[in-house]
Amino acid sequence: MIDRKISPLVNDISKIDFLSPETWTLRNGAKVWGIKAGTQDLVKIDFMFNAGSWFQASNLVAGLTNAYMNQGSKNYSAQQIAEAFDFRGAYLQLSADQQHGYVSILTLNKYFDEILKVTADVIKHPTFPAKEVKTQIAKKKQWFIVENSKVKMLAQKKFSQVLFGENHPYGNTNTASDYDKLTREQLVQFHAENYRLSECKILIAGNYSDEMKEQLEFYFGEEGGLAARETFASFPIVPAKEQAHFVDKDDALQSAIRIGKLVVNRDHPDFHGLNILSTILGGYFGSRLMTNIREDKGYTYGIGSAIFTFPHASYFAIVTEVGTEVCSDALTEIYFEIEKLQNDLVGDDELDVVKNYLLGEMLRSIDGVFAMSGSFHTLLEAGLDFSHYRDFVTAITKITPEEIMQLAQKYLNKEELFQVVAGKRQ
Amino acid sequence: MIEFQKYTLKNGLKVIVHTDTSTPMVAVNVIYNVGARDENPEKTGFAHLFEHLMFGGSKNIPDYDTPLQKVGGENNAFTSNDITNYYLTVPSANIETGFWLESDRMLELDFSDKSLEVQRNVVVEEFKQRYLNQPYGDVYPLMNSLAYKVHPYSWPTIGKDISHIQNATLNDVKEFFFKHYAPNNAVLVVSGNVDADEALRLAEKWFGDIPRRDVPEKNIPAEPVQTEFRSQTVERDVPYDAIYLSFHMDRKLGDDYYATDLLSDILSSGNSSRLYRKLIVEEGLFSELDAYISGDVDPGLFSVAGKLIEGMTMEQAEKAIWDELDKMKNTLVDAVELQKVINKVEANLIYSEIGYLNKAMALAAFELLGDASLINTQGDNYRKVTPEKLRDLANRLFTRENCSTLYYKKKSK
Repeated sequence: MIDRKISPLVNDISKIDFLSPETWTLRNGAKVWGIKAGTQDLVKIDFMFNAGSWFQASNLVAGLTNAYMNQGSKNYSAQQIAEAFDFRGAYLQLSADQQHGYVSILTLNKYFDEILKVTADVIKHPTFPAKEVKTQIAKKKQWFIVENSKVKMLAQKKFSQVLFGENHPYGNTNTASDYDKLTREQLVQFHAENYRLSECKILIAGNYSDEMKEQLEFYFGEEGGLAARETFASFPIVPAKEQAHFVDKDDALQSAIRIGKLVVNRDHPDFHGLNILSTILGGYFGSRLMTNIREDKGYTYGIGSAIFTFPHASYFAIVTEVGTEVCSDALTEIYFEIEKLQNDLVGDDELDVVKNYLLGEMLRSIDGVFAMSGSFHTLLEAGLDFSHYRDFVTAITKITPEEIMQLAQKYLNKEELFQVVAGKRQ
Repeated sequence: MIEFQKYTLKNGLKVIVHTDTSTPMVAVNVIYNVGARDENPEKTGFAHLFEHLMFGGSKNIPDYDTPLQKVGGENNAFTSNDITNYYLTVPSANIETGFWLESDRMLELDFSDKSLEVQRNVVVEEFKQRYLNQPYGDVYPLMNSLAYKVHPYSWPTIGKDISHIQNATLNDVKEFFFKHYAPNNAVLVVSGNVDADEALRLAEKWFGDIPRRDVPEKNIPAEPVQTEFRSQTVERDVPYDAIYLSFHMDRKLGDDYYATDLLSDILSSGNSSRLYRKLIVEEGLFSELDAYISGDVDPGLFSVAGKLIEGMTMEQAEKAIWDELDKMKNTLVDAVELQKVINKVEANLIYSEIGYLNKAMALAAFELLGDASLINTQGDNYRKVTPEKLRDLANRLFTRENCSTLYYKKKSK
């Protein structure tokens, strides 16, 4: 008979191989990173442009320019673009954040040439036809209004404004009426100004061939466009004066909570340690916050904390939705857990669990061609490479309970934490 | 083609192993043949509440999560109308910890009052977060209770009513466990960087001595054929009117299943699809409009869901949807259009072969349906569908007598 009370042997998993992507440059200066991996004949390509909301003159312009690039181009109508992808089981994904505008494609290798040809036209020559743009804006506005009736959205928006100030691109101030003010000309102009191939970062992942690299050069290497910019605008961060904020939603059954503050960026020596600290507090199922607030009290379906990073700033945040009637109890418990990390050393057992959990996550984050591409994408956004993850693995294996406590004392003081609650006032 | 080995242990547990050496990880996936359809109508939400309790410690291991995290593992679970699925992923060097944990909670749970009390509250908060505190959050429960009058698909997996969850007792929990959680009512799938002999050895070692249990025959009442149009109108505090149509469709193993799936793809998969082009772009009637199938083991629902653009009327919206459904009944789908949705399904099958965990879940679900090798015949089943089949199917499916419609109106201010 086996003794089920004894766990099987635990093997070390700290040796993680990070594949080094190959890099090359197109004629016009666009940089390419290639991750050759995977057993299926498919590729995923991400095109990243300096075309996020950082570069826009008024709300929504960056996001909607990006979103409507597939609404028609010089050689294809919106319908033809959609057919080209759907017929080949390929995907065209458009997205934009504060810093970048992204165009991503996923296709089987056998359709690479046709898909790349259409994508090039979409990226280089979108026409933003008036009728299509008008229809899409009406649709998007309604989506926005539905999203903004959710407490988590209300809390997150206020929290961004509190951290960065209303005039900073990271402080989200979009309103429904912004959709009415937007003109087609703004989109055309924003695209011409910011989707510069000379600044483009291209990430190709999958089982690609040399011939496919040549096709990339053919469709995206052309010269003659706007030159890469030397410098970019900068914006002062102006956090709110008050620490605590409330957003009213009278019919809410749950309150959304955000607690946090600005912290150091990815390139700071404290960053990795702070990330480990945040994991102990709320970064995994067995974390302090989950154990206390969900698994002991049952106040919530889920609670977590994480470091959220942008190229020019990072913040730490605790994120949850809790029953309205237990909201103030939940807040008390959250601060209790933070103070405990400042006053008591983390036990060796717990730290061991967190270290191995993080190593496992690291393995998962580079497991398979999609995961690897996604992880590298995150690093590229911040101008980093896999050495950042290698350093993280080293930091994980080395960090001590004393260092964790010092970081908690340095970064998690209650009087410096902003608190936003959206819901029904009690 | 996904290769796998299949064994059955003496206690009835089916074991499937799929080796994929492109990953350093392994997945251990256990699916139990129990879901919300097996619940007592007076005690709904139980299968799902039970899933939460499976993480509260087992007979020999007080805490499920910590030992797994300690070896770099991660896990989760989900409950549907038909099944409950538990999965974990772990670096392959530590695969045995996965077997140890999964087998102990199949052997017996640590039934504790504290765990039950806490998870009742957690599930009540989940109920609020997913259904009650979201705009349009109650659509699914409303529609299912309209479309199903007898079959247990009439209630959602979270439960018909919060009180059912609040009233659950430890006795109910124990009874449920011994009735449904048994090696002879489960499938274990191991996938990833492991060879079949090693996986089988570990399966024998950890699961082999769990006793077979008496699992009662399923006795789920069939839904009678719907014979007249049903509708319901509700008013909610939401920004826009919405409309939802559902039609009874074939069960997962039925002859019409794959064709029904393609019908929904032709209508709404991708920006070139009919509903998107015609009703969102050309006519500007809807801000969102989707057609999808439920994919249940017993006969499920084909649904169309749309949010109206401000200023459009419910009558316009309903007529426009029916016009598109009627087109499917009256005109043969063009061969190129059919090829398009088949190509897309085939590409998606190739994309999905990248994930060892996805493959484990799919193998488990198909084996529970009857045969894991169904995973490899999906492509053929889609390729067999013809334009005539689609027209014939649309004529049987899209009738008023087979339709339930939910008019979801914004409250007038």
